[in-house]
Amino acid sequence: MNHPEPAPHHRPAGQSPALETVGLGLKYRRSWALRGCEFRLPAGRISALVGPNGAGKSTLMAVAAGLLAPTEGSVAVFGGGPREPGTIRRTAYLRQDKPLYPRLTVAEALRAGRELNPGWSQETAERIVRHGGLPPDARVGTLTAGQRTRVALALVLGKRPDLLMLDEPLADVDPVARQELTGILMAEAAEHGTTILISSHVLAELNGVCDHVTVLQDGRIRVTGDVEDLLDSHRLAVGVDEGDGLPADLARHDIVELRRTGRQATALLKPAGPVDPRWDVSRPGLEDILIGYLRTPAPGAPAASVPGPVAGPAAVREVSAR
Amino acid sequence: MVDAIVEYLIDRRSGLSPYLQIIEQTKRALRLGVLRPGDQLPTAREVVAATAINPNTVLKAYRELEREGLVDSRRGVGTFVRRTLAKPQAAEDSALHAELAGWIARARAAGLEREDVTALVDTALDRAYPTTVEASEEPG
Amino acid sequence: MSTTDLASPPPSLSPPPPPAAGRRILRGTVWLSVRQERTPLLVCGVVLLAVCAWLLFLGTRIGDYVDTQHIQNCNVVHFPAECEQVTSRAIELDTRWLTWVLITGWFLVALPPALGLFVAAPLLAREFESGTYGLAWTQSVSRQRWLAARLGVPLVATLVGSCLLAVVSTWWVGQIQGRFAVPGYYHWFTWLSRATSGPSVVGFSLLGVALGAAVGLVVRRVVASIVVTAALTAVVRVAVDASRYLLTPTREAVADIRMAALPADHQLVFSSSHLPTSTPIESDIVENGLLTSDGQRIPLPGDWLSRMPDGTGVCPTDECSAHQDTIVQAYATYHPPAAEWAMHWTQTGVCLAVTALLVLFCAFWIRRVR
Repeated sequence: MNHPEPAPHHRPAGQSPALETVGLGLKYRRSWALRGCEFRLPAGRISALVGPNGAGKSTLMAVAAGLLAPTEGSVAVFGGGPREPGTIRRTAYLRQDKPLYPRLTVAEALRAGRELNPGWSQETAERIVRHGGLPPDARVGTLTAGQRTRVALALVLGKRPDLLMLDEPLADVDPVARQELTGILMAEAAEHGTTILISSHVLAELNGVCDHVTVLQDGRIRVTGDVEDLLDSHRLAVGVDEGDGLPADLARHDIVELRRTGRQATALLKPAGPVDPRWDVSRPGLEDILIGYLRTPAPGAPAASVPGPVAGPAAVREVSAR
Repeated sequence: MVDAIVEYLIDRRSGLSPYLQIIEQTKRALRLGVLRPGDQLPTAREVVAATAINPNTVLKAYRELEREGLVDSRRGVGTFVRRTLAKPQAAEDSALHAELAGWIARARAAGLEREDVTALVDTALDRAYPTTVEASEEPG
Repeated sequence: MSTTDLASPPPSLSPPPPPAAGRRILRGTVWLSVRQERTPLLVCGVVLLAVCAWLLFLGTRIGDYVDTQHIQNCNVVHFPAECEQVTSRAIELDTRWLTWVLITGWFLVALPPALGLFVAAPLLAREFESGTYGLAWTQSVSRQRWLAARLGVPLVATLVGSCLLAVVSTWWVGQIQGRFAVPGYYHWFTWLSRATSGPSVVGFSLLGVALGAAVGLVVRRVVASIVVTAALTAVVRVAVDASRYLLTPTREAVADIRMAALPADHQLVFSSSHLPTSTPIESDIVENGLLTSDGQRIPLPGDWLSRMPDGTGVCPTDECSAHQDTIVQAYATYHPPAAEWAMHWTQTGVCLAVTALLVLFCAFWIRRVR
């Protein structure tokens, strides 16, 4: 049995990006949580937001969801302001702590979603809850963390958003449910063309799931772009090098990270041409690239506290997403 | 309702990208005759619900299969097998298969381990098919 | 994604369940708000009904006693001669019900602030404390609409409930007013009476809810909101109470009088009496004093005056003594008992105006909350 593809979900070419920030900065009482963020997430991507705790991942999502107002710069969701009624309807945001009304039952939590969202899909929401075997009359406050995650996911997916932002969504669920829920997320994206922005610090979890990735560090964007572009533009060079500092024959390349183990030096770099054959060059995996960026301090940030890796001068520049 | 004929098993630790795994598994199914012309491939939704991989990957893989002329995608209907890769000489009941099975049984009787056999076969394959194109996406 | 044509929806989708239109009287944000506050609404409803039942019971018992003992005209403030015969019966009222009347009065006064503290202050503060505001604000409704439901439901419930309470409570205050030696229940204008009868009950209740909610929105912590609400409620209640006097014009009554300084020979003083200004019985006297022939006002500490045998008043203050020869009249500014309802409505109007301002403030504030 085959259903015709639901046409309304197709958007015209040349559409606005799902999420775009220009010079975005947000300051809490004392310190900047985000600063100078240039970020562009094309519609239809499944994008990973990675970075250490406190890097600003949650803040970026909260700004895009309209919960926080930027201190400087601008943010546009499908070309509109995050708080515009048309935008609120098209986005869904699941906070890391997954707030839910504890006194409502599971069924009532879903009814709340139905009552507050014109495009609500009861079928989608119920399927997610049902697969977890949650009794509809159980109070949300009595559920385990994993079960609450399921209810929260049912709420954001039932809303049928065009942009779905999930902040560490699957941290509380077991591996089996993680696989199942990721599958559900991907299926929704496949069916409705949903753009998904998902933050995580389990890099392995993102492999095969994301086609777009952004590394946030200290409130700034280290690197952002399509996964394929990142894979194509980075190389891992291994060689013997006993000197200190930057090996001379790598100097013309853009070095992300350089590590030394005894005589061996390993460099993650963006080649600016052929690499000297004395280096054994290979294609790094996505995880290698991300870790390379995460291990080195952002340019301009105080590097003193990070021993070991030697970051090249002006080693990192953003990979702009096309 | 037609049950899906093939199921993709994505191994995330293999180092091979899910994109290539889908193409390889589809081609294997075509070679073995599991998929025959007119069969429908699972929808992207079905694939990603089961494997939790990126839907764009599945679509990209299907597009590649379409580009190679193996499948046809009919908008709003699904993706269908156009031609098979099965060769009669490679079927399970073919003479070549029987010869190979017999050779492997002899190798095992001679005390060779699985790895030894694989190494022997690889060497022979490399000699017979010298320009095996490596997949461009395979990480090093 | 532009090529989702490869994917098709999952087979065998059950049709969406038909909306149970008959069951859904409440919809959208209103439904959610009612559901969230279901427990407080039920508790408050039960308390309200219990209080009303108790007031009806106590008022009826006291009324019955007054009727059967024929002491209708004998009250603490106004005790005419014919009541001298039944003093013990009037005093018996105190013995039987004084404690209950006292407790009930205090309880009635405490109800609106309690509503503000324990229902309204946590209303929004809990949403911030538990993060559920983020859940609500990322649904398809605007913050303002959400706020309208969050405030509207408790405010409407309070309006309905407090109207019922006001009717019953006003009747009860009428039953007991002036009959008990309870501070606050002597007159229509004493503080227990004026807070627990008339439309003021409604005004104070709505004000309590709006104040608590507004504080919760700004403070965003439950316990802190309760504390701040408590402090602000006290301030606002005193201010509103003062406004009823500022906004209601007083009347003035004057009477001729002659005054003299206290003579050296104290023996001459042999009587005392009220100032001769003829204010109606049970008037709320704002100020007493004397007027000089050139129009100067000399306020007096009270309206009780010592007299000399010829009726000349004895000056109780130095200022009076200094002007004794030019004083020609005594005056009293007052509110007559007939002003009771006018003052209730004034006070209620102030409460409603402040309530409206607080709601507007919330609507403004929620735009800039981040």
